[in-house]
Amino acid sequence: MNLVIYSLCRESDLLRKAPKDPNFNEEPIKVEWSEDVPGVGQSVSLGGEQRWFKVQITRYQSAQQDIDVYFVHVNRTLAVPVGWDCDGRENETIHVELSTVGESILGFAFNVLGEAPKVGSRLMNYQRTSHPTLMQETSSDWIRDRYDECIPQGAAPYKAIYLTWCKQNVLTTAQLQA
Amino acid sequence: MKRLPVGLFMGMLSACYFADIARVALQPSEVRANPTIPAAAAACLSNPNCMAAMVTIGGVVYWEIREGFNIRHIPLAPMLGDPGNVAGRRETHAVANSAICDEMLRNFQQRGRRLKLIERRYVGGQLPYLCIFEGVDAQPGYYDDNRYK
Repeated sequence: MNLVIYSLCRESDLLRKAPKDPNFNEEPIKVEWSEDVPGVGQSVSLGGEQRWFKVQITRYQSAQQDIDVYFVHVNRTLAVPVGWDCDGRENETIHVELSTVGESILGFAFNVLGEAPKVGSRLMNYQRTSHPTLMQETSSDWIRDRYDECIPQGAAPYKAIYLTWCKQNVLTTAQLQA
Repeated sequence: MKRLPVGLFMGMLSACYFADIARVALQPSEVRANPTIPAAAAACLSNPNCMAAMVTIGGVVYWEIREGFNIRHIPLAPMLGDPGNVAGRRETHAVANSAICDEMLRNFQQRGRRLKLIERRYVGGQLPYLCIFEGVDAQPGYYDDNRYK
């Protein structure tokens, strides 16, 4: 089984000149399970009507699981942009929080410090507030149970991708008193 | 005289008991003016076969939801505080694209604020990314309040 991460990077020039580009109303990240290996030049939808081209694909492999992870940069044309806003992240890691193979992901984050996930920590839910950019965190029913480290074979946009397997953990009296 | 079922009577006694515990447990400084009741507790309060009350276990305040033999505890802390926005520790901001997190970091550093960008978390929606900063100068809402100063 393959886990495919599609990432829509913005061209740096475009980001500066047209920050409200309507093309970027689509979801900039999409994660899906697939039996197929992605290929350069194929197109994909990111939730809207527009088709995006897979322009750069990096394979990450795990030693523990029979899962390959593909990180796929997409663009509006088949050309690889000269400067992307997602360039220069080689020291960062990606954390994909999952319950089981084939299920929708629970969470997705870029760890700027390049760290591994913290096993035992709880996933959070995020809610909008009346403040324009302030988000409120609340505890979810999921905790990080273990992870698989997936490493690229050569040069890659991110140092590693961690598949973080989570389990439900609703607080009970027994757990609290233990 | 109509007798109450034993279970209901015991439930009412327990509710009073737990309400008393809650009054004792909640210090005035911890309580917001209008705390939100979590959905599970609200649903329980409208169900005659369910009891919801605030209890303290190990110094932590929880909603205790009792339905038959099923007992659940939901921590009150997330409603009383926000672990994502703690002065001196952590700030969380929702933004339109991930590059803004880096712009925010540069802005903070130019102002001499001791903060590190820890994580860009993807949550989708209108503001699909969260920029999570940690450091001794963390101050909830700082960026928005000082954006144009």
